[in-house]
Amino acid sequence: MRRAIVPAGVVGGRPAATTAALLVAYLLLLLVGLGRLAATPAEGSLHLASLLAVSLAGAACATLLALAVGVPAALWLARTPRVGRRVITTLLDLPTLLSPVAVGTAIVLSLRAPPGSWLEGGVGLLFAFPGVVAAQFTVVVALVVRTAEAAFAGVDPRLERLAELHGASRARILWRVTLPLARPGLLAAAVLAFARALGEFGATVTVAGTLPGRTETVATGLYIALESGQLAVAARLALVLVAAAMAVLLLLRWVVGRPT
Amino acid sequence: MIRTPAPSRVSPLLAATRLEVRLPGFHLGPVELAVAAGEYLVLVGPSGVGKTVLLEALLGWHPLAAGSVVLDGRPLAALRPGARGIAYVPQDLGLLPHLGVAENLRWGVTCRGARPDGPLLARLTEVLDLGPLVGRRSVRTLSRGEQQRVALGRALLTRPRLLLLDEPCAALDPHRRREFQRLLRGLHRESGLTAVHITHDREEAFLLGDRIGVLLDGRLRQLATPRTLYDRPADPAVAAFLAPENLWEGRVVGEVVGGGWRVRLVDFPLELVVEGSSPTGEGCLVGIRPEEVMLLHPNRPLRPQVAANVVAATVAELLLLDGRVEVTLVAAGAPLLHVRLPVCAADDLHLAPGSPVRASLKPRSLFLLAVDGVADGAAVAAADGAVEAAR
Repeated sequence: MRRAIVPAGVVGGRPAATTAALLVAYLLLLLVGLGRLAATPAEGSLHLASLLAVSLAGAACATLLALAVGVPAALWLARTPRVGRRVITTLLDLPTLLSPVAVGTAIVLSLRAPPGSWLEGGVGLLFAFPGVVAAQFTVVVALVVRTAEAAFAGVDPRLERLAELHGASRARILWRVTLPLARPGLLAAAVLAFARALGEFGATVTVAGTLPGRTETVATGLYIALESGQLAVAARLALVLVAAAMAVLLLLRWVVGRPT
Repeated sequence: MIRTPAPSRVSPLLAATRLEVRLPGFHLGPVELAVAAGEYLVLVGPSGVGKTVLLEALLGWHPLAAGSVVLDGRPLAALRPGARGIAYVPQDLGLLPHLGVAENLRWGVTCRGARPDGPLLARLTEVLDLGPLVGRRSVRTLSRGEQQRVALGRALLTRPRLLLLDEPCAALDPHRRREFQRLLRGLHRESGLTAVHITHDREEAFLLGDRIGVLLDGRLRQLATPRTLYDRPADPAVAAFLAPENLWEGRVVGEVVGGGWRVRLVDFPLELVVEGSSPTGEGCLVGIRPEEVMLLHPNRPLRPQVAANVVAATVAELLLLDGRVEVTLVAAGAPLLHVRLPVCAADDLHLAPGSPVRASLKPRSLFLLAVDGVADGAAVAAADGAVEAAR
């Protein structure tokens, strides 16, 4: 379908352009600073491979878990009357708005008594890889629910009703109508969750600590390097995170911008 | 009679009894409706009166506050949606944007895991001119008219016993619209398609409907053949919707020997003879369609059939529309009559603003509506509004 042709607006001329330019310059300045520091010789060993492995594995597990829980929840929310939805969404948004350290603290404390202690006894979250996943899942799940909810809300229930009228089973309606139509939003939810999990620091460090090779991620490793004065190492790790974020943004643009 | 009478209503295919739907800020019904097999029923009404809600209530998509819907003698709720044999083309068509044209066309059939009926598919492809479209990989690049044909084809390919159509022609440009209306009419005539079709377009309703239901303010005000609807609107609200141009308040002042009533208009020094059934009270509305008003040639003697209600007036305004002329006549200093006539007829009469004319209102062209007996205030208010507008 053709995009409507509209005339240019009136406000938002030179002052707005100047402000935007200053913002871009500031962000570039930060990047250049990182780049210059990263180019200096590293102060110590940089076990980037193990940091990346823990980061990617943790973020991937957290994202999959968040999708498994969040997508059905979002589907239900998108089809629920507004009154009930408001209470639930407020609760859901809490982990996103809260300081991640507070989220991590809440997880740690919840593991001291049942049912949390059963989980701790069975899986073992504290200072272990499952703790990384749990921390990142908690921070990220609301993001998945909210994004997926918007995607499902955009699916016209009439299309499902029409398929029902034609004799389609519920499973067929879900797989052939609802999920394909919500696909761009669901992919966006996955990509955003993955990116957020990759950069997560506060909750992860609180629950799982920074055990090299087991729970230390790029983000927590960066903090350790900075604390121990290894500035070049810290700058390199920061650039890794920048590159990851860039990749995610490009992927997101490609996913959402593509026609279904 | 131009139209054959409506099909028998002995065993309706679909029947709604005292159907009511309550939604926030909206109340539909109670509605009584029966659709016979082979019938093309058009529901007409202005936008926002609940046409779509009624149609979707017939599908079981809205919970009923009261009443029931029965399909072929069985309650609708007792039948699985897929087993009802109903197809629906919503106003936004309900095509799946992630599927190609061919997949969309077959979607109604593949939903139940079946294959399309080959000969039917071939026939529909021909009738709906889908041949050039089926290769397209997305329905979103089709024009609105093309999408419309795909959606109709999808519905018909399921061999529905009943087809529901929501404003199928509204989004088409005028010449495409008439083409599509003819297509629907042809499908109904040739294959005995049973349909409930909703529209805001009165002309479309008359073109397609075996019977027409007029839906106003959530109520089905009149359900009749097009001819009955044209000649005898049931109440002031229906008249105000179908023929709002010439409606006057009047008082019945006597009976005419040989049938008919003498009606004195309230706002004009005029007395008209009106045929039709007896009004229940003294107060009434009298109306006539603009097409039914005859303008008389000044130099010709009056023929007896136009002599009953001859009104002297002056041309106030003359609008040349595409294909016809609309004339506003004033009498006693106020706009009285709206007349619609062919351009050549206006030329023959040498009509110009300011010229005096005589108009004949045939007693059988006038309709008479009781006002006192109407319980519903809204109907009277609507009619009053129309009378205001006509002044």
